[in-house]
Amino acid sequence: MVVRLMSLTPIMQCGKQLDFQPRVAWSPVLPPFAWRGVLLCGFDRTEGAAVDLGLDGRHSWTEAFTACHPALGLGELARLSPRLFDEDRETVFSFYGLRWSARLGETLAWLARTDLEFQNWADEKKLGPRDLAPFLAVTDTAGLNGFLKKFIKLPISKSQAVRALETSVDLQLLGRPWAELLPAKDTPLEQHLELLEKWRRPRTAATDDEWNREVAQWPWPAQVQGEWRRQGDQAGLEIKLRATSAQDLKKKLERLHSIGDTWSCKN
Amino acid sequence: MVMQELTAAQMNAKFDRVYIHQDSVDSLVAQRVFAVFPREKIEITTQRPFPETSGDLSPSEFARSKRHLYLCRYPGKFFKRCPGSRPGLACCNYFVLNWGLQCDMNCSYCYLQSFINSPALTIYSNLEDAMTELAEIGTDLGRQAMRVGTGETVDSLSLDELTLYSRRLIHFFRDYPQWTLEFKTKSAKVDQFLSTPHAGNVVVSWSLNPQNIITHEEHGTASLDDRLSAARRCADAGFKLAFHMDPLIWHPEWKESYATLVHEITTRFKPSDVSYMSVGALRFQPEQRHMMRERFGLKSYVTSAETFASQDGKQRYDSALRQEMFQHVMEQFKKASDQWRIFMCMETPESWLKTVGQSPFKSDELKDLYDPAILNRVRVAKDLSVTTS
Repeated sequence: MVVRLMSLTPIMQCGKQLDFQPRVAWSPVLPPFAWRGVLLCGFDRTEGAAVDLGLDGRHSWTEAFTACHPALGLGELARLSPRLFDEDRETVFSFYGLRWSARLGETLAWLARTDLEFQNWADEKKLGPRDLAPFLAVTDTAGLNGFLKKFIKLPISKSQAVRALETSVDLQLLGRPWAELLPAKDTPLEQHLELLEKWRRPRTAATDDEWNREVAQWPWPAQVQGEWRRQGDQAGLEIKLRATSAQDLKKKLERLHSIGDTWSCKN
Repeated sequence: MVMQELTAAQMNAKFDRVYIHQDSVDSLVAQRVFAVFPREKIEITTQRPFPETSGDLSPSEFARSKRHLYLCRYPGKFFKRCPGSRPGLACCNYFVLNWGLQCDMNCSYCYLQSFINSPALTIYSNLEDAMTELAEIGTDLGRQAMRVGTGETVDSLSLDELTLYSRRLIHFFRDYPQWTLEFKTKSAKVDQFLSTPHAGNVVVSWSLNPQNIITHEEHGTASLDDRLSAARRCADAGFKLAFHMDPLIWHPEWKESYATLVHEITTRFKPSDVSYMSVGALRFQPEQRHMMRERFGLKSYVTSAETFASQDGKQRYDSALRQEMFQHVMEQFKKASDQWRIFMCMETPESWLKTVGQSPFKSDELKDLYDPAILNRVRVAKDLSVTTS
């Protein structure tokens, strides 16, 4: 058995230039690690010694760092990125499943300018670079931080959030102030998200609404419900029918023919 | 100014720097480049420009790529199938010869924004290899009808005064009178090939939109009048013409604009002057929207469009609106003459049925453009790859 002595460096002598404010504090039961005198984790420690992984020449800097931080969110990477040497970025980001590019750099730079609270929310929601891409088009940032501060308080799923953020950016670029893009007091979230969609696609929404009102007035047989529904680029009639017997079904289908006639008259 | 000087002035205004790969220095196109650009603007290189650029291009890198010209050899197969030929789309026996990558013009809806990761406008210097590939195909299929287009990843003609590729291709196609060579452009650069003898199998086609849309969305392209005038010169020189009213773009006065456009076309050309006419509505890959938003803001009719995910994954207008737009355009043509031959590009068979009442495969006027048997013969003969962009 080969016993290797751990190389220790007093924390007081360690550089903290990599302190990217990780979301989760380093476990107090573990010693902090360093690489050639630069602390890799446990940045809040002020006393004791760090195990220096760089002194025996067995690990590269990136191996040591990624071993300490096997998973990082985009917000954490945004804070880390400016602390890295240019030549290390590709390796570090590829470990976290991202391909380094100027575009990724721009996304991270934007995220790093937002409040820490938003960055942490983005990490909790596991947002990726494409989810934040709409913000790169925003030129007038007045009011944006305030919007994001309130937005992250909404009880919203990741997919709803991604869609709502993009729609909000579009609407802001179309001239609506950020403050208008948050739900009004007591407005349920679903209703607010629908409203954003209507604002973004007003002509289609108006046509769909008109059809909905029209369809509601048609002479539907009992236990048959018809609704105008949109699926992607196609809108159409969705019919829910309940029949209690073959005869009942036949009768309802016959009556649906007259609905077809009504529809034909409208086209 | 003589044409050569005019070309040089335009090219020098277009490009900040020109890179020629070592392997292309002796190519014909490189000799043209040496004649047109001052030596200090040209760099001989052994690698592509901006080697540090990787991954998706940022909007600024994409814009930069339009101002840097790179000549190199293309190592792969030139001859590819049109991306419209995917399950679920009705498409038209169209084969694509890509002799370059990136366009020097700047349309807000350009689909190159969704897949180009080349940091410079690239022109492949080994066009002779493309023609060798075509000649090999010709040994099996030289007597079959086939359409070959060059305007998928570059504009066919906007840089043609520099490359003169049109002349070489027109000359090559003289040996294959059954085949059709199609140039597709938004420029008016045609004078450089008008005197080239041809076999009557060259179609010069223009992508057309109303002038207000050209001004608003098709930056750096020729005006509608210049495009139609160039088309007239081509027709007078015996070249066939095609027009693509594609993409139709919704805007508040779209009905009047497209009616005016159809009027322009139908008063300047007879149906017999135009081999075919296609219409297509705005569509784009969803991931492209971020690049478009950043490059053109929401003032563009394209970025602010009300689009939805369609069955093939692309963003499109509501299907009822598309149908209305197609019908409107078709009606305008019908008003002028029922001899106009029109097909819909990159549309679903359902759209065909709703707009013209029949599938393109069943239309007597169009079935030769959409003959699946020809596609199969080519596929079997050469095992050609299907592009998926």
